Amino acid sequence: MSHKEIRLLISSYVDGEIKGSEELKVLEHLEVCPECRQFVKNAKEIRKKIRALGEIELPYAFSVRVMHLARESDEQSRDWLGIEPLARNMFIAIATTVFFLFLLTSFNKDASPGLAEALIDGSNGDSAVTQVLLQPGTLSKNDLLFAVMTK
Amino acid sequence: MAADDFTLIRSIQAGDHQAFELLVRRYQRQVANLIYLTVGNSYDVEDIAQEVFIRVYRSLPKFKFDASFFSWLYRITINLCIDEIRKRKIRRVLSLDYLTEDSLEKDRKNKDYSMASDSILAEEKQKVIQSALQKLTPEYREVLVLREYQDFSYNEIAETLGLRLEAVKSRIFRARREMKSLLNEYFKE
Repeated sequence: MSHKEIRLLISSYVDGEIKGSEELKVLEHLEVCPECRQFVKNAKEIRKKIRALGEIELPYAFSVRVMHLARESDEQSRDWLGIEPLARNMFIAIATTVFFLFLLTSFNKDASPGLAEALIDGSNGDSAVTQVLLQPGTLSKNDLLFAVMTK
Repeated sequence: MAADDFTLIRSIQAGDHQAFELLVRRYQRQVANLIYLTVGNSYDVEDIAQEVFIRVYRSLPKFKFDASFFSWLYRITINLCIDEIRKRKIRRVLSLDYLTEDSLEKDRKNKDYSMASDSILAEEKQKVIQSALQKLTPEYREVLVLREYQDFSYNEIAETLGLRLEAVKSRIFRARREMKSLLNEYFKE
């Protein structure tokens, strides 16, 4: 086994990850190789130093704070799934109703004065008269007055 | 006997909030230290850890039980740490605001954290080690942190990182070699 191959094994040896014949090979190699002995020494030193970096301890109330945030997150998602779509749908329904009411009102406003003018002019022949007679309430007194005044 | 992770997760999925608190308490120390060693300082540990657990909480309904909980938690933690490191790089490029009142406030807040173990090294020496760790590539740093700090076996590291055992061995060896070269001056002292 080459020195390079042994080096890989030595790293595993430091971690206690090899056993049996492989471990024996490493131990034999370490007897004769100062470079690899130094590698083992350094690896153990690095471990010690990384572990000595200290432990971060979160505040005692950390888990309580996380639970509070988790509940908030639940509430937000409930709001999103429940109340928000309901509000949005209601808004759409109201807006649609208002739009159609507006359209209907505009249509009626236009229709009556036009009909009154046609009736006075006689421009539509008998059709305007027929429409007024067949649909009572189509023409109001105000429509007629307006048509006469503007004539 | 304490419930295992999967039992707790099933309880959480069934709506048991208490089970989630147990899971947080079980892993908060590991998550905090993982963040500390990956991000390189302790200023933002608590904020990032909170974000990790909230992300876990939101994603738990989709947990599939096909890998260990820790490896899943580890991925979430590391991804958030990477985001944080990226944000910091951008902030450094854009301004020098990391010495503003805000960071000083964070520094003061940080002093409230207790260091659980009595440090053998002086603060300056710890900074040298921490800095060397930060200079490693992410691939080397993560295997070294999992091995030396979290005390994971090679098999656990392989499972957590989704690597083959041989790749773990090789990365740990190279990470140590790199660490040694970064700490050459330090070892001479």
